Amino acid sequence: MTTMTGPDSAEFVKRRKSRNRAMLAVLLALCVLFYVMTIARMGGH
Amino acid sequence: MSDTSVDARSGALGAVLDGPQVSDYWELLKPRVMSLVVFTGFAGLFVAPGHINPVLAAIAVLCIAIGSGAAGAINMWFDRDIDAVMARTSGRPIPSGRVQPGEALGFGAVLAAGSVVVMGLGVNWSAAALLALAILFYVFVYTMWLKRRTPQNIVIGGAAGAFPPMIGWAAVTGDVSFASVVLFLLIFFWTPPHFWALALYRAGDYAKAGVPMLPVVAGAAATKRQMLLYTLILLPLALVPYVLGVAGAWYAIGALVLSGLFILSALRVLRSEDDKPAMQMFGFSILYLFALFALLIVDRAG
Repeated sequence: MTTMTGPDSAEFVKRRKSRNRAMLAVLLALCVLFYVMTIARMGGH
Repeated sequence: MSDTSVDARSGALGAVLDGPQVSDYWELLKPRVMSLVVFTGFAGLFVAPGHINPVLAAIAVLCIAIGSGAAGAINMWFDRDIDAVMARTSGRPIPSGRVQPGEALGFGAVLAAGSVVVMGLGVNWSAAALLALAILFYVFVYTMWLKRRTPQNIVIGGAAGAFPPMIGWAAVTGDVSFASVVLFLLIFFWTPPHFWALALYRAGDYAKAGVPMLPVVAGAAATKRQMLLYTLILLPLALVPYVLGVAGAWYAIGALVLSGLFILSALRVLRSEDDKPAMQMFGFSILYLFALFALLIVDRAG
């Protein structure tokens, strides 16, 4: 049975999923960031 | 269960028990402050003499934005007690219970350290050192030390918000020059009239929270006189970039007009007992700084 609020609620699961997606996006963005930063710095020398 | 209790559970309490949303973390970064910081940081980067790789320039602006947001999150962690009693801030993520205090502190600290390290590795360590200084100044000097102790809190604390153009400049040149200090001083002298205009019509809020803002401690009349004084200092100061050759004639004309209007709005506030001129001056102060730095950018681009 799902309750209206708290760890069992549909809303709780939905928010956790969206936080996880945001975290994934941040990690991917960091990978891209460090890649382009490295390329840009290497190009300068 | 009655209908009212269902409403209560699905309302404020529900928002707390269901955990934070991504937008709550975004709100911790004070996005509106961030926009002004990004803009002035970019202006400093753009008008600085020399060349910077566009990718590294974008990274520098990103680091300034994240660093400023991180400082905002740590500020919200520390100020959660007073934020809860002020109408303007009571809906922030921590006082409303949507984000746990420790979580906000961790979030801010990680982003602060991350932004400084990325700035250092990707751009240069002068810019990184200035960014670290700005964050530390905002957190320790302004938030923890001055804000609750002295009515001059925002005068000295304003220095934290004045760093971005200097950081942007250092990202290009790798150093601090007289011209970049002038850009710093422009924001430094702009902050008191900007913030006191807000504090004038929010004095009741600050008094309730026990924050010694100038209108609360010294009264409205003394605050208005000091606001005028700062706008008078800004007029000649705004012309210094022109004198130094950082900006051209269009900037000088614009700076003169904008600073004149800023003085006029301070005079209106001084002569009025009403809140309205102060509210309008607060709005104009934001436009003033945006326009001044936009002129610097346009003049340099043209």
